[in-house]
Parts: sequence; structure tokens; C-alpha cells
Amino acid sequence: MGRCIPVMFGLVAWLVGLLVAAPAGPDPSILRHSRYTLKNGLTVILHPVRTVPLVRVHLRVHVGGADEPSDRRGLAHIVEHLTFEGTEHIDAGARARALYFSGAIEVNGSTTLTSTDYHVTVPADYTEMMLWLESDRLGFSAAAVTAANLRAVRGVVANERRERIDTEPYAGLRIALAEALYPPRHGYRGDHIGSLFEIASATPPEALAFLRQWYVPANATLVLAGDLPARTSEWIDKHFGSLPRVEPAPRRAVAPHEPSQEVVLRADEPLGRSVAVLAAWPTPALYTAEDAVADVLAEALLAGGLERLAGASALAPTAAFRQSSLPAQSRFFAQLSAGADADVDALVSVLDDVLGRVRAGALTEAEVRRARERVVARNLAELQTLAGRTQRLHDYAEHRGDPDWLAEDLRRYREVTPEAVASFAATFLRRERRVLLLARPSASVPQGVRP
Amino acid sequence: MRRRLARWAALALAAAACGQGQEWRRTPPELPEQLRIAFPSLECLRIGDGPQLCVVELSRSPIVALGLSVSAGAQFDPYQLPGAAQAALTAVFKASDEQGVPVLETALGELGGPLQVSVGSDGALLSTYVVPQRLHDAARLLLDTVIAPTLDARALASVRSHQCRRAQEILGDPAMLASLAVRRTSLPPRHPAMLPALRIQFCNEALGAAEAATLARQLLVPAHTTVLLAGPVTIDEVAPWFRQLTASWTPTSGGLARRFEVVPRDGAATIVDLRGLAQTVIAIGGLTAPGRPVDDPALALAVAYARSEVQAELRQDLAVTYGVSATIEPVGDRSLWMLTTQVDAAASVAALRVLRSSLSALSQRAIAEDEVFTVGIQTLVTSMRTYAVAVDAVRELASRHRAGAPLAEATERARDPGAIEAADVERLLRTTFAPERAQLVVVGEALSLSEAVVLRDARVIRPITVLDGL
Repeated sequence: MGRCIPVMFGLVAWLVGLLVAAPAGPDPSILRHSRYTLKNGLTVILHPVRTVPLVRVHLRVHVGGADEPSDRRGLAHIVEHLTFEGTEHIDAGARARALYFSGAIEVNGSTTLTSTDYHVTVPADYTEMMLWLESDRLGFSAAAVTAANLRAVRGVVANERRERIDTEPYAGLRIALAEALYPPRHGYRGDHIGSLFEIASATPPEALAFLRQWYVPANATLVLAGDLPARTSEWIDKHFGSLPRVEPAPRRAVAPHEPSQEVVLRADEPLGRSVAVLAAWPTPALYTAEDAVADVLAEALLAGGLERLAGASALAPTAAFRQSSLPAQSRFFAQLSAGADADVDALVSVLDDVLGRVRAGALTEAEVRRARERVVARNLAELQTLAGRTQRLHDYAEHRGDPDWLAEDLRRYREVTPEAVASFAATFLRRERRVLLLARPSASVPQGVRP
Repeated sequence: MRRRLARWAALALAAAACGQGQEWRRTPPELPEQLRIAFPSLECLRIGDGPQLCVVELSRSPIVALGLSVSAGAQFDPYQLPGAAQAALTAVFKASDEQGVPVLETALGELGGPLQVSVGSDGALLSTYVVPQRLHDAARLLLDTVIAPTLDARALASVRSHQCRRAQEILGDPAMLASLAVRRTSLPPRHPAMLPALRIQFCNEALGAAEAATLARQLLVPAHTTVLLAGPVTIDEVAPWFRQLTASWTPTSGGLARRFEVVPRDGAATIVDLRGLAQTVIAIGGLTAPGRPVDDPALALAVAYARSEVQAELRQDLAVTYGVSATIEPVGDRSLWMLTTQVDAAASVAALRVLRSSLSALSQRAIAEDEVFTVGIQTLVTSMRTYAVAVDAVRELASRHRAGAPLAEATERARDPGAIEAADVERLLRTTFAPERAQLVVVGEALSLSEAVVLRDARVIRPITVLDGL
């Protein structure tokens, strides 16, 4: 015992030292950029980073699943796929070859509920080649909207849905949860990919109308990060500046939803072999103070908080907690899983008990501090890559009006206290505001693995 | 370089489609005469009698990544205890105190650093990242963990419980089952490269805490370890710290690793019978000849061709898949390649026919010099990106360390990956990727799949058999 005292003292002194010697903030120039708007309304953000001669080109079209007609879920995603099928100037094969021969990496498109993004990383010397391709995509993809292309795209997207949702354990349940959280026709209801029926129903006129309505320079932002060549602005003027100005349609308003009572669903999980409890609550919007509190709470629970608060539960559940941040209203998700024979009601009790204790302030100052520090470090770590930087510049510009909102963003996290975490749970993670989904494996569990 | 750049530009131009208006939009922009290539500075030195230290200098990185790479893993498993090394290292890295609080994770958390533990068949990487001001404290925590490893029965029981839970989940994960089954059918029993399966075997085997602790001490010696750093630091700044932090680490022998002989098997087909899936998972793969490590550029190109050909047929032409993925993993001085795709269950038989015919056609394919040249550009771009990102640079160097490759010239080698000969790629396509030599695994409903000609003689197994052995 005697030998422990100096060790303990040393540990305490070291921890105190850490608290006193808090690290300085991030390099204030880390997201240094220039921003301007072309005559046709395209917003351009240029962010020089000279580490290696690479450039990331990231075009965002400000339209996503939440902007679709409510009976046409998946249309934004289908249109994203169609824009890879060529233009009136460059066919799909030529585009693919140009990317391949340029050594392009991290080439992709992505659709979310709120945006559609196209990104690629290339040698800095091939920057103009990418501007040539991306400007053509933004301005001339209507030629790709043919019945034959749409048929093929529908097949691919249907298989994307089958792969990511229908054959991925618990993925379908998570979407069911997001559907039950909102009323019919709400913009955030469900997932951007749509059902197989909706995917199969998309028609060329609908896709064309969607493209013409939203894929216009005044509804897009172009971010370039990396070792930008001196002529970058000149090339942007040439390739993007020559596109005509078209006024975009106003975006569909998404109102926050306030549930009036708890919704409980029961489902069979076709693939996963664990009993699981999934829960979701609507929470405050992206970049609010409470949104940061939710991130810290999720991190604190995942990094030992749940284990401590759940105590010696025989279930020993594995868990996932996540704040999914969106501009109008976010969602906080929880998932607890235990063995195939576990009692699902006992799992719900663990969740209720843990959240009850969080509401009562059971997460300690140390747990919240560590979670806060990790979330801040993770935010900074995301800025290591050009991809992380263009994403952040886009997000800050779109939702805060300032591409360099980093210091404010991190300040939100640094101000999170244990009291704020308890208050968040008490205000937003109440039983009557949640959707709860109780899942059991649908098939008998194969024998042979001793739990 | 200049002549070739001009040539591919012409190729892209020739492929442009017809159309009206803005004629200049049909013409690719003029290319620069030279392609600039640059890598961050990489320096390595030996810390006294202790481990090697390598630093990638990234002056603009907001964080510094720190890793301890251990080049010893499943090859040190006792024969009767497959997965023991992985379990022992994980238990050391994730050890808890008497109250059940994870020691290293909690201490790193005070610094904002995540605990990242990656234990593979050929070794382990214990890593984190922090803001530069906290590097010294983070380094001390990681080094203390490996210099004086502690392990108890509770930590081991926790690892075992996790592995058993994971094993249960794999039974319902079609893609994971397919990947494991290809390993099972390509490699001899208890081979280290079957680590995911070995972990699961560990779930059913007994390993005592004392035995695990002895094994961990045998693995965690300076001779097996390299300290890797990437971020806004220089080797001159940090070398004195590390000299101090590792002063008490006694150099000892790491013991003898077992050698595993691998004999490629004849191609065969296996159906993992899992019913009610919306998609069928198809995986095909096999071992290369000796002398084909995972970073062999000709192998990378051959795998890229195979993936591209199969994807073109299944996605563009048939529209029955979202995509095809390709992997290459080290197996001693060979590599294990694998292509995996998930296809609409209703189109399984057609997809299998197309897969076989595209790989057969590929084995007859002639490779042009320009095609080989372009893969060099892609490899360069990927490497430049990797070494410019602190966390990825550490991961890449750790992977090279575990493969036994020298680290000091890693970026030099990345800058000049070596010439690929078209004939070499053609040889690989003709031999290694010929469908009759590969292991084919299909996860789906056996009854309907048996209509496929290529599965006529297939062995049908239950999912649990993939975990228990074939």
C-alpha cells in the first residue's frame, strides 16, 4: 500500500499538470481561404495547402433528399448517379478515362438529406482537367437523362440499397427508426435512398426536371483545397463562369418536429444475431450549443460511461450512441445489443436506467472532460486531409455563413459541462420524445460458438 | 513523361462524344509538361539499443500521430492456441484497473487522444493522435504500456467475451462469411493470415492469464518495435525524449517465430447456405506465386484490371450490383487476392456466368504500355496523399514495418515504385487470375444457386462451418 502513495500522488500531479497546461487552440490560419461569387451565382472557396502537390476538387449542389417531393424519395440520389453517365460534350467512358489517366483518387459522389457532393483528388498539375469535367457535369448533364441510362441507374441504386441496407445487419431497423421519428411527408423522414419501389418508379421527366431545377451554378458551391496552381481562378472563370445564370427554386422548408408520445416498435432482425434495442430522439440543430453537448454525451457513454453507469449488468451490452446533426433538427441515436437469448425488456431497462442516471448528473467531470477533449481532437484530426478540409469549409460556409468557423465550433465543445450534459438528457432524451425499436433475431441462432 | 502525358490526352480527346455548342468543352485542357511529385520528409534512427524511431515531418498538420508498431503476432501463437498472441496483446493494451476503468484509454483520454489498437496476423499497431503540445505525455503512456506490460484474467476474459460476441455476429454477416470462407479454402488450417477466424477459435479455446502475460512480454521487445511519428515535429526535437523514455527497456530476444508453409490448392467452389437474402455475395480469390508481396505494382495493376472488368460487366452492363471490391493481403512472401461483390439474388446465376467469363477473357488480355504507365501515376498520387496525412503515414509505415520492409527509404520507394512490365501483368492475369485456379465462394440460398454451372460440383456448407473450419 505504501508504494502506491507516491504513484497516486504522481498521477494526480500529472493530471493537475495537464489541466493547468491546456493546449493552445488550433493554428488560426488552418482554414485560411478566399471566397468569391461568380456572376452566374456559383460560390467559390479556395484553400491553399502546400504539403504535397495534390488538389482536392469538391463541388456541392445544395439539394438533397429533404428537397424531394415526399412521394419520390430517392430521386436526388438517382440524379447524382445519372450525372456520372456523361454530358453532351464528354461521354461516360471519356470521363472515366480522363479520371483514370489523371491518377485521380477518392473519386465519388454522395447524396445526403441536405446536399449532393462530388469530389476527387488529383495531382495539382491536373487541376484544370477536373474543372473541365466538373463544370461540364454541372452545366450539361441533361444529356445523360435517357430512358436507357435511367434503367441502368435504377438497377445499380436498387443494389446499393440491398447491399447497404437489406443485407447489412440492423441497417434496415435504423431506417425504420428514422421513419417512425417523423410524420408523413416530413423532409427528414427515413433515408435519402428510398424504397425499392420508389427507386423503380423514377421516370426520365422527373429526373430531368429535378436536374434542371437544382443543378445550376447559383445553387452550388465549389471548394478547392491543396497546392492550388497560380491560374486556378482563371480556369474557374473559364469553365464555370461560362455557365448561364439560372435562378434555383427555393429549398423545401423543414420544420422541427416535436413528438407528443413515445412510439414503440417491435421487429424481427433478419441478419443480426443479437437482441437489440434501438432508440431515437429529435434534438437541436447542427452547430447549436446543444448539438455539441450531444456529441460529448455520445462520446462519454461510449468511452466507458455506459459501462460504469450500467454497473454489473449480466447483459454486458455492446452499444452505439450517435448525434446525427442536420440543419433544421438533429437526431440522437442509441443502440444496445446483447446475446441472442437476452431479454429485450431487460435491455430497455439498462438503457432507461443509464439515461436516468445521466439526467441526474451521474457522468463525472472527468468523464465529460475526456469526452470533450477527444471530440475536439477528432475535429482537428479530420482536418489532416484535403477531403476533411473541403468538407468542413463547405459545411461551415453553408450552415454558418463563414467557411472558417472552426474556432467557434471548437469553443462549443470546450464549453460543455457535466451540468449541460445532464440538462440535455433531461430536456431532449425523455421517454415521451423517443421512438423505441425492439428487435430479435428472426432465425434460430446457429450453434457452435460458446458465448 | 512528357510524351506519354500528351498521348493520353489525345486518347481522352478521341473518346469525347459528339454534341452541339461550346466546342472547346469537348477538348481536354492542355497539360503541363511535367508532373510535380513531392513527399514529406521522412527520417529514421535507432534509439540506442532500443527501438527504431521514424518521423514524417508535416509542418501544417493540426495533430501529431504516434504509433508503436510491433512486428510480431500470430506466428508466435502456441500451436494448440490459435489467436493467443492477438488476445494477449489486446488484453495488455486494453487492461483495466481494479474498478474496471480502462487504464491506457482513460489516461489518453485526458490528452484528447483516442486509443487505437489494431492487431493483425503479422503484428500490432498501438496508436493515438494528439495536439502537438501533448505528444510527450502521449508517448510516455504508450511506451510505458509496452515496456512493462501488465495483463490479468479479467482483461483476458473481456477480450474473450468480445470475440465470442463478434463470432455470433459474423454468422449473420454475409460479406464477412464470404471473405472468411475464401481464406479458409485458400490457406492451411491455423495459418496466421486467417486471423479473423483464429480470433473466433480463441473464443472457444482456453488461454491462462499467466501464459498470456508471458507471451505478451515475448512479443513486446525493442527488437520487434518501431516508434512512428507524423506531424509538426522533427526527429531532432523528439529523439532525446524517446531516448529518455525507452532507457529502461532492456533489449531481449523475441523468441522464434514459426514458419508456415503454404501450398496453393486447386480451384474449387463452395456455397455457404444462408437463406432469405436480398443479395447473393460472391467472392473469388486465391494465392499468388511466391515473391509477390502486397505492394508488387504488377499485382496491384492485375487486381485493378480484374476488378474493373468484372465491375464493368456486372454494374454497367447488367446493373445487378452496386460495385466490386478488391483486396490484397500479405501471406508470407505471397499475397492473397480477393474480389467481392453482392448481386441481386434473382440475378445470381447470370452474375456467376459473367464473372467466370470476364476472368477467362482477362486471362487472354494484352496489356498496352500506356495502360501500365497510368497505374504509376495513380500509385504516386495515392502515396503522396498517404504520407501527407499524419494518421495514414503512421499506418502505412507500420504496415511496411510488419512486412519487414526498410522504413528509412519508404518515401523514396514510393516516389519511384519501379517499372512495371506489361508482360509481367499479362502473366499474372493468365495464371493467378484464371478462374479455374481460384477459390469461389458464394453466400446465398444453396437450392437456387446450384442451378449455376460453375457451382455444379460445389461443396455446400452451413455458416457455422466457416468459423469451425472446412
